[in-house]
Amino acid sequence: MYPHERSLVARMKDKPFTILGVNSDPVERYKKAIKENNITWPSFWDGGKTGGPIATAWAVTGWPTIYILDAKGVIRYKNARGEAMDEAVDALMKEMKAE
Amino acid sequence: MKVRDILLTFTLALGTSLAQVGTKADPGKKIQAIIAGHQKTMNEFMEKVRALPRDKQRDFYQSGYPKPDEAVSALSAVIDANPKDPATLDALAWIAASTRGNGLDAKDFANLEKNFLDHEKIGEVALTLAYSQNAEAQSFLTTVSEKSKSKTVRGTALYARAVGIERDKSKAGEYDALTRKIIADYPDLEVRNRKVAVALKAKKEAHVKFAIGKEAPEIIGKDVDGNEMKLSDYKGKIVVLDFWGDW
Repeated sequence: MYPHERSLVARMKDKPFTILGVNSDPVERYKKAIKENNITWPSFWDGGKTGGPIATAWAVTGWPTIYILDAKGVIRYKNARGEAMDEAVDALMKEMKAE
Repeated sequence: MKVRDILLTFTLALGTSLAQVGTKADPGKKIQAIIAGHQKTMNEFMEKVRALPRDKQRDFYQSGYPKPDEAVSALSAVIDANPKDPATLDALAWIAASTRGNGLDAKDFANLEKNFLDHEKIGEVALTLAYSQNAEAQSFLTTVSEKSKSKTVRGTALYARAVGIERDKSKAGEYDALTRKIIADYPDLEVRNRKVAVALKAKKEAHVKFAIGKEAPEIIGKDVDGNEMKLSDYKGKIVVLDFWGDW
C-alpha cells in the first residue's frame, strides 16, 4: 500500500492531484505510521476508531475503502487499488486535459 | 506374586475402572471437559504470544497456533455416541466455530438438521459458518434459513448467507435479494445485539448515496493536530479518498 501510494504521489507531483486520507488509528499509532512510512499526503483524523464520524457518515465498514473523485468532486471509482488506481487517475487526468 | 506384579495388577484394574467411568459419564460433562482442555491450551499459547515483543508476535502466532484437531476428534466420538443429547449441539457449535465449519462432516450437518434445526443456538452456528467455503455448510445455511421453525434462527441464517457473499462481486444479485428479504421480512432481527435490518437498510441507502457518478458529500473534519480540513478544499484536483488504518 504505502510504497504504491508514495510512488503515485511522486509521479503526480505538480499535477492537480492528492491522496486524502481518512485515518481511523489511535493518535500514537497514526503518528508512528506517518513517520515510519514517510506519508506526506494529508489525512483527516477520524477520532481514533473505526466507528469515527466520517467513516460512519460514509457507511465505511471495511478498510481500506477507496473512492476516487474527479476534479469536480464526483465519485468516479470505488476501491480501485494498485494498478487499477494508477489507471483510474491517469484516465481522469486525460479527461481534464481534454476539457 | 511379586510386589511388582501386584502393583501392575492394581494399575490395570484402576485403569479399567477409570475407563468405565469414562464411558458412563454424562456426555455434557465430557464435552465441557474437552472444550475446557483446548481452551486451556489456547490460553497458555496466548500468554506466550503476549510475552513476546510485538514484531515477533505474528510469526509465532501463525506457526504455533494450537490446532483444534485433537479436541475435534474427541468431540466427534462423543457426538456420534450421543447424537440427540442437547450437549451435542454445543459440541457441534464449538467445532463449527473453531474450524470455520471444516471440522463438520456430512453426518454432522445431517444431525444438526434432524435434531436441532429449531433450536435457538442454531443461529449462532449459522453465523460461524457464514464465511465457510464448504459446500455442505452453505447448503446447511440454506436449509436453516428456509426450514427452521424459529423465525430468529431463519433470519439469522439468511443474514449469515448474506454476509458470506457480501464481498463477492459475482454474487451481487444474490446478496441484494437476501438483504432485501431480511429488511422486508425480519425488520426487528437482532444478531449479536445489532439491529441488522436497520443497518442493512442504512447501508443500501449509502450504497446509492455514494454510488459512482454521485457528487461526493462535503467532509468537514480535522487533521491529527486539530486543524480544520474540508474535502472541498481540494476541488479542482483529482482526489483519492482513502479510508485507512495502519493495521
